[in-house]
Amino acid sequence: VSITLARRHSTDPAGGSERARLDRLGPWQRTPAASRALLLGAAGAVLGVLTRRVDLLVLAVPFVLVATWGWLARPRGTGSAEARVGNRTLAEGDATAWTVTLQLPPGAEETILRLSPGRFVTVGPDADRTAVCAPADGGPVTRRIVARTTRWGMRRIGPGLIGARSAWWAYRTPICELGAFWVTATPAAARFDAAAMAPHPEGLVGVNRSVRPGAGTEFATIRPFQPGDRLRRIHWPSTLRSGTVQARTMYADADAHVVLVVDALSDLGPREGIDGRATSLDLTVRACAALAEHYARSGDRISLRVLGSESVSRVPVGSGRAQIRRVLDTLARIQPATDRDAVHVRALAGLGSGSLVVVLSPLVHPDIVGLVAAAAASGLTTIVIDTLPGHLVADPDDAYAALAWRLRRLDRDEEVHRLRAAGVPVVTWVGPGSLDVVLRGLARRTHARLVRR
Amino acid sequence: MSGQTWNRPRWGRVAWARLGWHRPAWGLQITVARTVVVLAPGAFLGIAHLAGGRLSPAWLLVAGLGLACARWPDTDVPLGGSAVLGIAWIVAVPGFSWLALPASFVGLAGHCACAFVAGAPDDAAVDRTLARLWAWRLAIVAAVTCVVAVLGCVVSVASPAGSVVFTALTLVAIGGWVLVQNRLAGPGPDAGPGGGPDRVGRV
Repeated sequence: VSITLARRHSTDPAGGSERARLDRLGPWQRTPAASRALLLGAAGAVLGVLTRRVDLLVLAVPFVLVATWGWLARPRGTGSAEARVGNRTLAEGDATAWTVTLQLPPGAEETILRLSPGRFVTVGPDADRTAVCAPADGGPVTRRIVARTTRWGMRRIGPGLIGARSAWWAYRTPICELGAFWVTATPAAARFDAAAMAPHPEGLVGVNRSVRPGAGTEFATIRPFQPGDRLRRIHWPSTLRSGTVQARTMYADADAHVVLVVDALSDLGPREGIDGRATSLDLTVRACAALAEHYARSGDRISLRVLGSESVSRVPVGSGRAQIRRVLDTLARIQPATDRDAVHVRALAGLGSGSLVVVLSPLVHPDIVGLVAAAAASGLTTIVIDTLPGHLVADPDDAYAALAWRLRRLDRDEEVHRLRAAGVPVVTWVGPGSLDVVLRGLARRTHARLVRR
Repeated sequence: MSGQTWNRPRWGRVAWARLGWHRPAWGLQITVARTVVVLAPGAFLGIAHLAGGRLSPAWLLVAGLGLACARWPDTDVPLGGSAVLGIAWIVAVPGFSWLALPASFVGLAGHCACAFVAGAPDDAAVDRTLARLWAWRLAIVAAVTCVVAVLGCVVSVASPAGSVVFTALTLVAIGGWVLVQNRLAGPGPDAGPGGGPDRVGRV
């Protein structure tokens, strides 16, 4: 079967174009139904005439008509098809449209399109998965089938199957594949908000209150006026009371560098997508997306380091909406447990002392605990967000798995206790307010150190 | 992409599923079409019996052909089944009966259902426009069949000479051919946008 499949997109997840085109939909082949109608009709008519039996002629007439009609209305020429997908980047749980446009030759009256569901891709509703439709007035047939990604990652939509048939199902084309597209399903950011500021911001712009005075907006103190102070900073009530010119001072506004460290060394739990129970990596990437959005919108600089994934490693520091997009794209490309090399403390090399390191991990892999302890010992402000899903430990269906997890959790609790003893806060991810308490605590600790100095 | 099929094979745990009858994804239309395919041979034999056919109980086994036709609709099995049913009619039914009309309708329905099932996915959903078009076509074929039955009866009663019948049939065939060429045949592959009607075979 000579079918020209001219795909301008590659099957590489990293690549891809917007459209896929099938230049030649055909050739048309005679179906067994057409041959059946011809043979039965001809045989019945001949027998009826020869034996002078009208009933045989009556039995044969429908088949004669069907065979003749199908042959006269046979298709002439070949068709073409073009498929495209609406949105190449979408959040998990969102849907996009796989649209195919067919240009069929005269005589082709029935087109069959089918888009099958894939891994973490649902197609639906079920009634729309397969469409049998006719071209309107000989024009092109356009059909949209909605596909929905149910889990973050690189997801493949398609390929769709296309076929066409002529009148009375007498001729048909081979079933052709068309339009497999890779789309990026970014993690759906969990809800997160933090009222507490980053503990020690060191940048030049941002919304965090710095410990040093400057031209910020938050009040610091009132002191005698000094040369260089702005006149609009004069505090007139105090000036009138004291008889000397007093001026307000402000804390500087600064931005922090938030380093998000994602533990992709393991992915624990059943992968049920966004509509089911979350795995440890689901919780991790969704929490990471939420933190990235929150801090980037707050004007802070964020960077990302991924441990355990061969395809991605880090996102350099940046801020703003572009950085959010960069982080989300990187999270979507994570392939868990593909990098088996031991996690080295150099994974956090190059960070300034003012960086806030947020490690998102289920704390199951022993290397992560060592990395966190080493980071804290080197003076980095480090917070660990525990993303071990609760349903893993309390599985009522498997008593042995529950017992194994119970034993593992005893070891894990010991490691967490040692981390806390070393001054590393470990908090469970609960969404909004998860970090408020620890951030305030870290800020107080910073102030205490400054006071001691 | 030769060899591609709409329906992926599902390997079941029981023989019933391996036979291909376990299709939880069947849509309503495919279910109806397969039911028609399965029941058509039995209905045809029943009509043959009502038409005065002297069918032995062994012919009841032929009713099971519907299962084979529904299982392998895209092969020559339906052709063999239809041939067997035709032979049964010739052998059993002594002469003309008006019940030949419903028998031919049953045969037409079985053929169309089998052809539809042969190339459609299990969960196919046909547009209403297309379904109406097919219904109109079936009605036309049924009407022509009725006309042929009436003409056949008239001719058989009148018993005209063979030359007269042959001449009349030839004229009807030529007239039908001209009509079809003018109304149904579409333009050739080189015809432009205004080269002729672009809808072929539509009623």
